[in-house]
Amino acid sequence: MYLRPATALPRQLTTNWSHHRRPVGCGMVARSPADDVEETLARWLGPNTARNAVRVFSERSLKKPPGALTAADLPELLRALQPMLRTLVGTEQSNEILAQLERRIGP
Amino acid sequence: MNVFRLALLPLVGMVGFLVAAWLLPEAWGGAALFFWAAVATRSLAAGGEFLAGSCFRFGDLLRWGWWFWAFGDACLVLRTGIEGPTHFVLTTPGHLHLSILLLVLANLAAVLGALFMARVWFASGLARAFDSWRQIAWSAVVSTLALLAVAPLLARSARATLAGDSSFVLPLLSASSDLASLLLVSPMLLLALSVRGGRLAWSWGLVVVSFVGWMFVDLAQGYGPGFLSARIGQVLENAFAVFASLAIFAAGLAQRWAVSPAPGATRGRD
Repeated sequence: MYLRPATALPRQLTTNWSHHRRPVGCGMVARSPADDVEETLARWLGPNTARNAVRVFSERSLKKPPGALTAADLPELLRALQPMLRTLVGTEQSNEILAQLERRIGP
Repeated sequence: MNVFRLALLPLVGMVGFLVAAWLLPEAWGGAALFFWAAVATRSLAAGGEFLAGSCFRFGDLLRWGWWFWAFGDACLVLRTGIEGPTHFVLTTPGHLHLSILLLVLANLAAVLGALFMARVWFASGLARAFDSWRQIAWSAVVSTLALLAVAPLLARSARATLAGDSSFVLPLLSASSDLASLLLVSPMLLLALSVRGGRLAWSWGLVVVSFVGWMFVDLAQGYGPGFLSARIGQVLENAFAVFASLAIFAAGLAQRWAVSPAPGATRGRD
């Protein structure tokens, strides 16, 4: 779990990502693994589609909102995202992106 | 790669073509310019499409979409090459048959390529996340524009073919293929809109821009004879073809760039 001061964030950042962040006390917000997945996917898919994809696949496959995901949920989420990524960026690049995400956030 | 500069290439190429057509004397600025511009830009388009398809594996839809387009453009380059600037070989039966075969193959490949590319929108699952009314609205707009662009050409060649003039069979085939390809643009446009802000937006955006260029070629062919002199009509038609070919070349390079590893993607835990 990554912590950063909520008060230090500019308004537009907290607005865009608010549905993924949970206050954890001491003026800090929790950064869900879904945020990292979303941030990485946004490089290829753009912010809107990346956010929608993470939301839809986490609700459909894990029956959880993105903000409630933990590092242990990540493999399941990545498996759910794989067909979409494979179609859009190809098999090799999608494997690469998912492997990087696993290395970056995995438990 | 500076993808923004790459995206400007079609516009720069079209302006360059128009300036050359305007400044060069008739001997160079007419059929010879049209011929060399078509050979050069179509070759670039085929190369860009081939490179884009090479980024993907055999099982990936995008490989087949790009490679069908590359094959179609390669057929057109070959056809333009054997016909020459003055289409003199069309008087030889062997060359004529080869030219017809290449045109049929190019049209078939263009439609198959567009089918594969349009299929990406549905296979990715993005279609389910996009508002269905907006999808219908965009599809209606694109279909109307495609019909408006191709209708005069299609009607003229269909009328002549039905009246027994076999020389209009090939224009009828080309117009039908153009219409089929243009009707398949809406899934590509929706995909380009969905991924805006991401790397993939450049390649899909440029693919759509290329189709817009071809739509203008059809408009110039269909409506030009009624409004423009023959020379201006030809220059405009070829200028839009240069624009469309360079746009698909740029789209191919942008696709390669988009699916290459992003800088910073390998960084470790934040």
